[in-house]
Order: sequence, then structure tokens, then C-alpha cells
Amino acid sequence: MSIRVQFMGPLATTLRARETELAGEAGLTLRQLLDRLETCYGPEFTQRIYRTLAPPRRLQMHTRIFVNGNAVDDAMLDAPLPTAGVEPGSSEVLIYFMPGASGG
Amino acid sequence: MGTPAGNGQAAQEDRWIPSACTICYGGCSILAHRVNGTLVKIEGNPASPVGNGRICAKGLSGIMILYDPNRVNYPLRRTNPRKGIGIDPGWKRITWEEALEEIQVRMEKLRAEDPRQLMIQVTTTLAPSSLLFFTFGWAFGTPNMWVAGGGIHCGNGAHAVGGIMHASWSLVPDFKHCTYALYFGASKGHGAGHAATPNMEQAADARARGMRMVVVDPICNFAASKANEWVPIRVGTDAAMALAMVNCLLNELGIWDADYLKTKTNGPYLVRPDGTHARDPESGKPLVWDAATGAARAYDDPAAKDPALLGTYEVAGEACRPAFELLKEHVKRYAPERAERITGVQAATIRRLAREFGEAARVGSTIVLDGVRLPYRPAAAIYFRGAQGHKNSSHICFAIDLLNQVVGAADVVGGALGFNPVCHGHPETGRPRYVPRAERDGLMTPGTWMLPHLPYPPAEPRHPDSMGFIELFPLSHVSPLMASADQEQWWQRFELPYRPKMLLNYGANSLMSVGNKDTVAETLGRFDFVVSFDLFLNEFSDFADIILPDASYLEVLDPRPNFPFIFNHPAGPGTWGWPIRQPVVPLTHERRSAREVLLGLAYRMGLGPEMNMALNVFYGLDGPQMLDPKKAYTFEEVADRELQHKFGPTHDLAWFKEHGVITWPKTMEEVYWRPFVDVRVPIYWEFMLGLGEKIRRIAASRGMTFDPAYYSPLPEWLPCPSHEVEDAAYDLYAFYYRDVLHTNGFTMENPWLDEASRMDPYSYRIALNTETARRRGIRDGDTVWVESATGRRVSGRVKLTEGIHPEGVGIAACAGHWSRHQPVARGKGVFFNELLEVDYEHTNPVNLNLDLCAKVRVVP
Ligand code: SF4
Repeated sequence: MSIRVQFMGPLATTLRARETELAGEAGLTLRQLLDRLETCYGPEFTQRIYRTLAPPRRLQMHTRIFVNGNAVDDAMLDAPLPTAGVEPGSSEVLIYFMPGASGG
Repeated sequence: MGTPAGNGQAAQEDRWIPSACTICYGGCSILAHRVNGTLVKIEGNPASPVGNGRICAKGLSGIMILYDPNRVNYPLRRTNPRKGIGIDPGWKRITWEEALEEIQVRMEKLRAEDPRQLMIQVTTTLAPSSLLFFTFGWAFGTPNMWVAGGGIHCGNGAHAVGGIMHASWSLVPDFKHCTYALYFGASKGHGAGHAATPNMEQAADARARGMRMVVVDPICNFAASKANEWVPIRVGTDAAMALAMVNCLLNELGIWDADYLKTKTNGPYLVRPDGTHARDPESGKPLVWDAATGAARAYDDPAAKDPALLGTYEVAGEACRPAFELLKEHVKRYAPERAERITGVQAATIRRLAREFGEAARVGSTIVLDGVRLPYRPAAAIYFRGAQGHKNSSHICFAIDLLNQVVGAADVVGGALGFNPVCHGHPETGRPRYVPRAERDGLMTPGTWMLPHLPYPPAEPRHPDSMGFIELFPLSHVSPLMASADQEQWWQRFELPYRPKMLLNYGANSLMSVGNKDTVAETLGRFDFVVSFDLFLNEFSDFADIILPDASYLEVLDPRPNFPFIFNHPAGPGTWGWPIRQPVVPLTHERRSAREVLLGLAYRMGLGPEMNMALNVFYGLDGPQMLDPKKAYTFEEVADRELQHKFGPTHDLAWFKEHGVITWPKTMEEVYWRPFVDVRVPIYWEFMLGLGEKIRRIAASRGMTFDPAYYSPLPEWLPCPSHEVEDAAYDLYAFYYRDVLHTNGFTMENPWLDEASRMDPYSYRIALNTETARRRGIRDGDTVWVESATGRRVSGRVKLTEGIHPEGVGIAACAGHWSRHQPVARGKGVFFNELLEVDYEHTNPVNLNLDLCAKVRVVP
């Protein structure tokens, strides 16, 4: 499965990247995808995604993630990514970080 | 329906249009009567639970705002480069294109340099609509946004404590079932504000039903005058009284709700000698002492059948005690006699009120509603602006709420209810849906929140890079440092890498609504360029470069005037209602809706993708209703998507324009949710210890003084600067109160409200205790000076009354306008805020609440 990840808001500036493309096996969860992105982008990324780095890692309120146009919440982090993106067998993940919440 | 048009001809048009008031943020549902294109009357909309057909005097007077001849009707640009209080900007009319072109060029340059140089300022009056301005800020990339004035005068303390303890923005008694309501500096149901008119109806019904109401307040006005008992208290000392009452309950009367404390709070969590929780070494979860098995177990271990609330237990070689035991011990320091010395309320009164409250709570009782057996605790302690508007804001609210917590009267039948912390959504779509949930240590986090800044668990404090330092103080909402006397000093010490250059203002008159005018004027003078959307020119306009003529609330669309429900929807049993606000007359002159202007500005600056994403987040849009980042939308299209997203394709904007409001019944599980949701709340704020230490370290590294007492896990009474003034010549406490004719609104210029205020003996006068005045030789109607210990002063005419604490000086609302553009308001009433210092010293270091009282003397 091919996964296109877009970064929006100040996250794009922080990571110096607007989008990236990853290959993922069937059954890959969003949490696992975020782990892989953490490997690429380091703690700068993770701090903006999760409220705490220690478990339970819950999504920051000022970060929104959309998978194929649907907003996700904590309950969906461990579900397999759907493969019904723009292209069959693909997924589009959009991660948006709000700057107004720089206080966390 | 046809009626005479008044000129002998049959009316061509005669319509009642459903919409929503916005003269204050209550957002009451209205019906606007339009005849031949002219608005002739505003009434409440009986089809909506947001008022049930009732509106207040301000709401009725909205017609005078719409047709006010002093409205700003065209874009204006200053010609005089000099800015200052009372200096004429030399306004000249320009076209919209000229205005937008200049704004765009300046903003693009600013954004290319550093987007944080843009500050956005809005007003609570128009909230939550004004929060939409924040989406522009997100798209632009600035964290520097604030709700001026109203924001720091409102509920920095109340909302954070409401969020931690009730998963909501505010509290009310369960008017339907409460039998004993204790108000501390609050007027819920007797004034304006959140869900103002529905609360008034419910409070009136509750009083008629026999709910006993006791109001602790320095002044006997809107709430106290309707109460069974008024308890005058020294300004800013409510925490001492509340803690003494908790002491009486726990240590004199032996009243507490053990079941509730064990299962719904962290009362049984064991505390080590250093104040932190004893934790399971593997899971890190707090431990409780299971009395049944005589062992320490994780709080959520099903084997912990009987967690102890009292006693001392050895865990890992340390003597640990349950948090409840520590609370019980802690409040012994607040004997009623000590509280009497602090508050001026007699110890016997404190004891009596504690007993009445404790007995009214009927600990252990249940009630069957709709076939469901529920806990029944018909007593509630409520706080709001008056109590919380002090330097010790967070402890005050925490202390008062402990009254509810120890007797289990939190979000159960008859108790203190958060505003709608649980919503299961419309039956057809399940939206909007939110429920509080357990977070770190099993403690509650709200299911929804007004800001992207949850009260619990608090974020990690860090070195600030926003103007207000909210990153350093994660329990804050709105920061006075945005307009404080010492802002530059702190920015330098913390090496803020930019300075604000441009201000985008939406309807706030911050020169009057924040604090003393000289301090605010100095901060406004630091901006190179100020753009303001306004209905009228006012005192703030003297600092603006471009004024944009805004549409009034009767001329604009808003798909969610009462959402989030935790902010502005009536609490308690009844009906959910989602009204819209819609134009009731077309726009005239060159007025434009600020929302449309901002959307257009974002698109013309190439910020379309960012703006659309910000709107998706703000409105919670996804799926088919998600805005495509690559497309451009009108605000009508955005509103249509928001409504379809929440209520399905049959309930689109066209449906709402015709019907005005959608309603559905509330369930018992939503209203009295506490037994149904597995969350706990902290009666011991262990998290404050670590948080305070982290903040202290960052603050100390930059020479910022920081008193850790504000971060103690149990509340204390801590004095305001006004309590520490030693000069005996300053012997009175000045405070302001929210006049029901003017609260949270742009009302002073309204001729009908002015007429009512002139008939009201208090609106435009300084309330002084009769005996206090007599001793100074001051008579009713005399003109006096109120001088603060910090050297500021205001003048006004005195109204003598028995209904104010002998040490109190009560001033209504935010009056005393001086702008030549406000001919009705000018020279009327007293500008209380002139007495307020705006600096870190007068700010609560937990939630950044500004201290709103001043030690003064009154002289002829
Ligand atoms: S309470 Fe506020 S929103 Fe309601 S009618 Fe009065 S002014 Fe309007």
C-alpha cells in the first residue's frame, strides 16, 4: 500500500517538509505509521502529535489528522489504515497542526 | 400574514425571522419582525431552548444598534500619523479595495519576515463568533491571539477549574432539583453571560419552587437581592470562607460522601511525605490502600474493593496517607474564627451555612428519574467572575468547588452541574458527540473544550515564544501580558525573537476593557499598523490606522451561535437546541461581514489551503463536508457544510434559514452523567507540584519571581496585592460588578439602555455603604474621587446603600466613555478599569488571571 502524508500549518515549517510518501504493508495502523514518521523526523514531530511522549500517547488537541478525508481520534489510532484513498490500494494522511496552540 | 404598515397602505412584507442575539455572548434565540424590509421588533424565539422565548432588555434594544446613525458605514483611513488618547486620527473615507490592498501588502511583508508579528485581538462580546478570527491566525501562522478585556476579566480561573472538575466551561446549580444553592460572586440565572436568559427562567422557577439561595458577595444586587440570604464578604476572600466551610463539614460535622470520594475522585490515592502519589513501580499508577485486604493496590485494580479515605499506611518504607485525609487535615488550618478575621463573615454564620449546605446535600440519597435510580445531592456551590477575579483565582474556584466534591454534589441530580459536559448528538447523526474520559492517573479530561489547550493533563511548560507567555503557564487561557506595563521587560528577559508590529482587531475596545488606559495606550502605541473591524468609532479607534465597517449581528450569518454547548447552552434537563444566526435585513452602505472579508483576504493572500484546513478543524468538518484545501468557498458554503455535517443533508442551511433551530431531547445519561462515565476528578492536585517546579525553573532562569504557593496541591487563601497595602489611608476595596443592562455587551451607546440606566440608581453611580459614607461626611449624590493606592483615580457620583460591604466600593460595568464618537455614552458612569494595574505582579501565576480589585480611598 502506498501512503501519501501531507503536513500542514507550522508543522510543515518545523519539519521542513510538506509531504512524504511511504510504503506500508496491509494492516498497518496509524499509530505504527506515526512511529515511522517519528523515526524520520525525530521528537520535533512526536511532540507536536502526542500530548505526552510516554504512554498512553494521546493525540494533541491542536493536532488534527485526517485519513482519506476523515478526521481520526485516539480510538482510531490502532485500527488498520483504510486503503480506499484516491488511488485504489493507497491512503492519504493529512496532519494539521494549529499554531494558535503553541502553548500546548 | 399581513398587517398595516403604519402609513395606511397594506404591508408588502411582514415576516418573523428566526436568528440569534449577540449583544452579549449569551446568544439567545430571537425572532426578528421585519415589515417592508425594516426591522420593527425583536422578541425571543419560543421554539428554541436557548431562551424559550425570553430575551433581556439588551436583546430588545438591538434594533437601536442596527439603525444607529453613528454606525461606521465606510472604510476609513487615518491621515494624522500621530496616535494617542483623544488625538484625532483625521479619518478619511477610502474604498474597500484601497483598504484591502494596503492590508494585504502589509500582511504579506509581515508574514514573509515572521508571521508572529501579527497580533489578533477579539472580544468576548461577540464570542463564540469572534473565535473564527482565530482560524485566520492559524492560517497566517501567528500564536498571538487574545480575547481582549472580557477575556482577562472573565473566567481564566473559573473555566480551568470547571474543566478539571466538571469537564465544562462553567457551573450552575441543577435548577430543576437543587434545594440549596450557595453562590460565591456569581449571578448565574440573575444577570447576563453564558446561557443568560434560559438560566434566568430556570433560576426563577427554582426560587418559586422553594430552592433556598444564599449569595456570598460584597454587594447585594442582581443575585443577592433575589436570594433568601445575602452574606456580605470582604472583597477577594472567598477562598478562606469556602475552606472554613469544608473544614466544618469534614472536621466538625463529619459530613462527606465516602462512596463518591472513593470511586469518583482521587480521594483514596495515597500521598507520600513529599506530596506526590505513591505509585505502582511497574505501571506508575497511583496506589490506594485496600482496607479489605490490607494491601496497597493500583487505583483501578478490581481487587481494591475498599479503598481507604483515612489513615496512615506504610508503602515502600514510607508513611503514606490518602489524599482525602490530607485535605481533611489541611482545612483544619481554616477554623471559622480565622476565616472571620480574613473575610469579615462571622464564624457562627460560616458554621451555620456549612451545616445547612451539608444537610441539604442529603448524602447517600437517591432518586428515580425516567425509571433510572440516580444519586440525589440537591445542594450546589457556584462561583464566577466576582469570586474568581483575583490574583488567587485558581485556588478560590478550587476551594469553592470542594464543597460540591466532598458531598458528592457534582453533576448529579440537584448538585452543581457543568454546562453540558456530555452530548450524545442528534438522534439521526450522532453529532455533535463528546464525553469526558479518563486521562493520566484516571483523572478526567473534558470531552470537548473551547481552546486547543486542555486543562488536564496540563501541557509541559516551556520557554515562551508567544507574546502572552501561555506556553510557560499551561493552565492559562488569556494573558494580560498582551497589553501589560511590563511586557517589554519580560520579552527582553525571555529573548522573544520578534516584536508585534501589526494588530488586527475585531470589535474590542481594549483601551477601556483591559485596565488603566495609559498602560494599554502605551502597548497599542508599539504597533506600526492597526486594523479594526468595528460598528462604531470609539476610544480604541484613536489608535487604528484603518477602520473596516463591520456588519452587526442582525446582518450576518453564523451557523453555530450556541456551540460549543459547554460554553453557551442551558444546562440541566430539557432539550438540546442548535439555532443559527442569519441576516434579518440586507447589508446597507458599505458594511461587510468580517467573516467574509477575512475569508476573502486569506484567499487573495494565497492562504487558501491553510485557511480551509483551519476551518475544517474549527468546524470539525470531515468526510464529504470537508473543505478541499485547493478550492475557494464563500462563508455561506462553509456554514452549509457545517450544518449538514452535524445534522445530515436534509438539514442544510436552507432548512435552518426557514426553521431557525433544530431541537432534540436530552437524556438522563447526558444531564446527570457522572455515574455513567468512568472518570475521577482530583480533590488533591498532585500534578501541580511537578508543574509548578518546572515553571519555577524556567521563570527563575530569566529573573521572573514565582511563588510556588500558587501551585500547592490543596487550595489556600492567598492575599491580593490590595490586601497587602499597608497605608491606612487606603481603607476600601474597589471592585466592579456586571450590570445586567450592560454586561458583556457594546451597550453604552444604546439610547434605550442609556434611558434605563439613567432610571437605575446604580448604573452610573459609585455604590458606597451608607455608614461608611456618613463617617466621611459623604452624602448621597455627592461627587467623589476614588483614588487607588497605586496612584490612579476616577470620579463619579455616589449612591449610598446598605446593600454593600462596609469596606466595598462598587462600580458598574465598563462605563465612563470619553470618545467624541459616542455621544450617548460619553461622560456617563465611571471607568472602573482605570484603577487596575496590568502587570505580572497583579496576575495569577497559574492561570494568568488579572487581579480585578484595587485598594482605594474615597475623597470629596
Ligand atoms: S442575554 Fe445577551 S444574548 Fe440574550 S438577549 Fe440579552 S443581550 Fe442578547
